[in-house]
Amino acid sequence: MVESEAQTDEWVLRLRDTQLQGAALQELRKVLLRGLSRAFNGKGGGESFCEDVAQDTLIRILEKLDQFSGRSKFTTWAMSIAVRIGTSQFRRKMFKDVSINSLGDEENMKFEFADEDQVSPEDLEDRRSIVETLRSLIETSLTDKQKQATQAILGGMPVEEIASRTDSNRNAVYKLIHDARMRLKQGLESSGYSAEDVLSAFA
Amino acid sequence: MLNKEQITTLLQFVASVTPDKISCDACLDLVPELAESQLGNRPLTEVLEDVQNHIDNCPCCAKEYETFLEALHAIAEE
Repeated sequence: MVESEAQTDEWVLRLRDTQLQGAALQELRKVLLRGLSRAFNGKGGGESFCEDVAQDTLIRILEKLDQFSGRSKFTTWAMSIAVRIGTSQFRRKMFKDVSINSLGDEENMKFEFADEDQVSPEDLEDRRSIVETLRSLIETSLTDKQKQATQAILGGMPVEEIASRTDSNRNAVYKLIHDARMRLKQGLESSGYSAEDVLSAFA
Repeated sequence: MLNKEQITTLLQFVASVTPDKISCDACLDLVPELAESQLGNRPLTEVLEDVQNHIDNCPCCAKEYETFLEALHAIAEE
């Protein structure tokens, strides 16, 4: 189904019209369910999960209708809201029993480097040296919050879940981790290891 | 305790980072436009290049964008 500009305008008009809104919402719900089912069924989000997300999305769309700028098709915009709500709920469900401390304690950040690959002594020495440099940079360059957030994301915890456990928000946690990565990358470069060196040493 | 695989992941996470101009929220607000440009094989505007760059840097937004594209493919098939 390729939506034309006229159809995009029609969606907005129908959703704003109290007499046409009910039918438009039902139609939109079907579109959203089709997309949500494809996106979440394979990941363990079943039918009732998708139904709940579609319902929450319709409410959010009516609240945000004035913010729709028309820079994309209406159904694309609506689907982006549905996926955002669905992803957020799915992540909350997946990580509800996981503590950030279990991913981010000091013990977890220790390095155990027993290289089992068949690599030359020179390559092995390079790897050990890069890891030792990284370990030292983590200790000296990162704040405790950066260490904790970086460990948590490496443990698979999404940024928004880290944010909810640290009284922060997604943007702030992303920036915290991004700054940490940049600082470590610059530290490695100052020690003579470019990104390419690091990636090829551990390829 | 990080094992070798986790250390490798951490090093890749560090080595692959690039400067990023936008936040997760700004990125997610613009993914409808990014998706339509990419699916329509249209060149990206400067702003959409920034969105793509954020997605390349942020594993969470990258996964969310992938999920969004799956959903868009499903509704386009109708």
